[in-house]
Amino acid sequence: MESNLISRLKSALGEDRVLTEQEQRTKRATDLLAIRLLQRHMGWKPTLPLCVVEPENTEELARAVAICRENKVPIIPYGGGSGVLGGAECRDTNAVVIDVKRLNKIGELSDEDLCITAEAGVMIKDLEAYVNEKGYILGHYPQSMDLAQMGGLVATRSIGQFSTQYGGIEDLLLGMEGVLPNGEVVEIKANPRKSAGPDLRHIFLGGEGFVGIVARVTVKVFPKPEATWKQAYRVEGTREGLEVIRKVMREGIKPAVVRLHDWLECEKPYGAFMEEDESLILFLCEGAKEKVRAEQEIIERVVGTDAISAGEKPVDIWLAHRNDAADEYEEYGKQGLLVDTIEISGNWSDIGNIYENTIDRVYDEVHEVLFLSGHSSHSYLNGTNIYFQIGAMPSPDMSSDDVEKLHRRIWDIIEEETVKNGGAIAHHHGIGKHRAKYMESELGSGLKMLKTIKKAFDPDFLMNPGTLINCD
Amino acid sequence: MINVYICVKQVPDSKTIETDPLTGSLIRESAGSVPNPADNDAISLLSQMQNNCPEIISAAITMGPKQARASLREALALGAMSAYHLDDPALGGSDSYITAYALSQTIMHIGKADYVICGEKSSDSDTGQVPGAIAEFLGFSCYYGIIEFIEIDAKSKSMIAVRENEGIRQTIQISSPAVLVPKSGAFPKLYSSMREKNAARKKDIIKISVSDLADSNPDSYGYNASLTKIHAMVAAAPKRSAKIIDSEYTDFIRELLCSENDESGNAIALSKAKCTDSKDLADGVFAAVHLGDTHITSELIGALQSEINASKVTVLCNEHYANDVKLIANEVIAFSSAGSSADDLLLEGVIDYIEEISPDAVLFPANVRGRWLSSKIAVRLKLGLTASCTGFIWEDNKLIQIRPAFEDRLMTAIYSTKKPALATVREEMFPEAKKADTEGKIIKKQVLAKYSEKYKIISEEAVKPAEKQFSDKVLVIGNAVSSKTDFDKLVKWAEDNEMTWGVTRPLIQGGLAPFEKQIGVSGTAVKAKLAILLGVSGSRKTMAGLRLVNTLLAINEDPDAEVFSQVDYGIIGDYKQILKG
Repeated sequence: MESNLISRLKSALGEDRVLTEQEQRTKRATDLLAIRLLQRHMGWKPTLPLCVVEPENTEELARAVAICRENKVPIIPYGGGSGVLGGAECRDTNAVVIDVKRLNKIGELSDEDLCITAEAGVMIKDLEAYVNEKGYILGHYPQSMDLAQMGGLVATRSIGQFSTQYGGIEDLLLGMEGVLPNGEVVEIKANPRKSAGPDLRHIFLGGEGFVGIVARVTVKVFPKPEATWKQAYRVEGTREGLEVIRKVMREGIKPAVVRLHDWLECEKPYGAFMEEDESLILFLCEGAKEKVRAEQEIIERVVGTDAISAGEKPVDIWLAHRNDAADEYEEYGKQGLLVDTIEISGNWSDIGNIYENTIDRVYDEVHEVLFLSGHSSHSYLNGTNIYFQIGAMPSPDMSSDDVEKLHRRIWDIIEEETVKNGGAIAHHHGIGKHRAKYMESELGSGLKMLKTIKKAFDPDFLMNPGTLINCD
Repeated sequence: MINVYICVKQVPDSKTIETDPLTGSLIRESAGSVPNPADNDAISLLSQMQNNCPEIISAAITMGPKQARASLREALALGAMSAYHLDDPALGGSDSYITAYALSQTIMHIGKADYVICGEKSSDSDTGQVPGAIAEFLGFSCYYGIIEFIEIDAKSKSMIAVRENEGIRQTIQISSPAVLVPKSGAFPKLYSSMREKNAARKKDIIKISVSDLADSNPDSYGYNASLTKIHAMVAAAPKRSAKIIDSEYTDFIRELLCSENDESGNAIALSKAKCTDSKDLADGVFAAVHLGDTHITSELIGALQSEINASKVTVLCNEHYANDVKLIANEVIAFSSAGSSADDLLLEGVIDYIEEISPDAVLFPANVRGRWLSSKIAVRLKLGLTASCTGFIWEDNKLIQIRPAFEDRLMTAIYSTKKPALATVREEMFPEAKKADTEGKIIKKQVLAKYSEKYKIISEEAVKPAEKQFSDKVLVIGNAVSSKTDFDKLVKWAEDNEMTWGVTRPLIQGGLAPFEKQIGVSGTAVKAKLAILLGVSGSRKTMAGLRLVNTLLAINEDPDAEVFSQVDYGIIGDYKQILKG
């Protein structure tokens, strides 16, 4: 059957679109699920898919999906491979990876409608450079900027570092084209807003391939901002910092960047600008100069005497080094350190408790933990997120499985505390396969609804099985 | 009770360091700060000593601005019992000599020390001179290259440790007081747990100002008191621009592989031109200290000859080495004495020479013994000392010394305020000395010296130096090479051409090569004469690992590949053709 499937795919798409070499399958067998960075040094080997298919357009993509479905083999859609929750990780040797990298055409940019269309495999850094050249920005700058592709960003419900002003990918996505599990193509028109039943975009936004594959997107563009204002403020602690941000957000303004870093995150990069134990708030406003000035005035008034100015340098440092983490994590793996990031969100009334309870419990219960820090990086009228950064040193006698258990223990605490305090288990990394365990506690009876949707579209559970929903 | 002090330093994070594109100077705030990596070995050694001996009372000491407290917190979290922060505006701009002086003053202020532990060197200034100078200021012995702690005797306070320097491993018994310098990376890396971090946050850090010290005169510290001054500072990364070679390139590569030319693209040589343009002939009095390795000494002489056209260089050495160096030196001063150690003899001999002749400069090898000897002499004679020099300029009868800092990211030109300038010279940077027509004259000197090091050798063995992962010529295989067959052919081609090979990250992910072979920010940095890059796109992360390669050649099919703006030679074409040559 295997060779039959491969030859069918080859005859349908062309010899060179179906890759069976071990190197190609190895490259597409994993994403950046954090624990693998360490386990790779402990002898862990990825499960390789049967083959990798690289369609060049929506029609080929649809044909590949249909053939896989006829043969009843699992399909794993693959974008930039920058996901951190194993959404693109292969766990079945029969699976076919459909890599959308060849769907890389950029459509026309409309100045009047302020939007651009791009295929799923277009790298966001290339699209950003393309619109920059014409005087626009995408307003979406995830930490995975160097790796991520447009389709993957939609599929994982991504967010960018300037989201407080520009929104998450769900606010930027105007329309799209996707391929359903039966190989049908669905188009969702790009319109500013509509009232035509439930919004079908949301089947794909955050769907992580569970009932379809994103083939093409139309996203907003923004004129390049003319002015910028940057300012950092020192506050006594995380609670105090959250309170300052809450008051600023209440004013209804939308600074591009509103961040709060706890003491542990400040020590290295910002130690020169603050006292020990303090937390640091970073603001960056951009846009028309009158708007920026107005935001500055409101922030300065609201902050008042609750925080002390630390100048604009810390914001510059953050801007320069905001995407360095990826390299550091890889290095940690070599040193035997387990490093991960876990992002959750909560309402203003809950978020302080989530942060404090989580940190206390992890310290008390997981003695291998070397650091656990947190920052708030995306704020809203009603609440904010906390992005935990965690490092642990497994004891030298631990096996790869033991390390996985240790990793899970930390995750369990953070997700448990989040749900217990009314927060959401995931803010912007998505669910993947690693987080699916917590979906029941997140969705409650809503999980049944999600499963019903899944069954309706994908009765054989072939689309990225194990992602979002456990395969039971 | 045994008092053990550990000196730590908070350093700019060299990974994130930025330089001003116009002036080349360091943007210090851009860097953020981290505990000095080599201090981890010091803390690790302290922790082993404390586990072995409950009598130890320990304290961590740092000198620096407020962010230096982070280093003290880390030391507290990892076992130091108390912490002292020497912080005073008067200390700003201190060079390594003054830093060592201030730290030794602080140690004397806190109380009688039995042992002082220092990391081998700081990653920012990279001199490795502070430990030796502290020892000299305190009148302690100094032991570099400690790779293993064995035990400490609470009663006699003596300890047994293993040290390894220049291919000799010795198990020695050390008497207190002494400065201990563990070899970087020899001790297990320690990580503080979150609990330990939190406990450390609650401890007091005792603040010390210059006015608390026995020498409380602010003029004794800081930039004005320093004996070396910065003449200029520039970024070390040269801009490369690719000369595009025709697609028939195999002959060119063959030539490149055979040539010994290392002029083109040499990061360090290029930066020197930016520091100053002076080309005066040097007719000063110069000496090089010979420690036993003729090749190294030949490079010291070669440095003075090639860099500043020095007309005469005197070699200073122990008597039994005199015949080894007479062919490369214009003059040899050979010291002898009854009943002293080789190092002590040389120390006293060089001091006598400087006092008698007052030369313009004395050069030492930048190895453990060279650093130890030079820092002792610097303290004894109050002379400026510049570490690990990679270039020299003779200007206004003054030796300007050029040295890299921040893991070679910055080049600094330094001069000493007093003569002679003392400098250690990095190995493998300079040509060997010209062979003289006539043998140098050997002048014998009797020196009064006695044993100063108080240690007993328990056992001794020779060790082989570790093999380098990457040789002088490196083949870098990039993402464009994805088939196993091609990859294997390229590896074989590299081996046939006596090259070592490395890969970029995607090949590790594709399972073609093991982690050790990765080049770049998260892999290994390569120091080589030549690197050939096949199908490498030229990402910032990969290129960061190739910064110190003299000549870079890239072959890539894509004429717009980023790599072409970052190499010396570019070939637009199919990498497979290389296999045919």
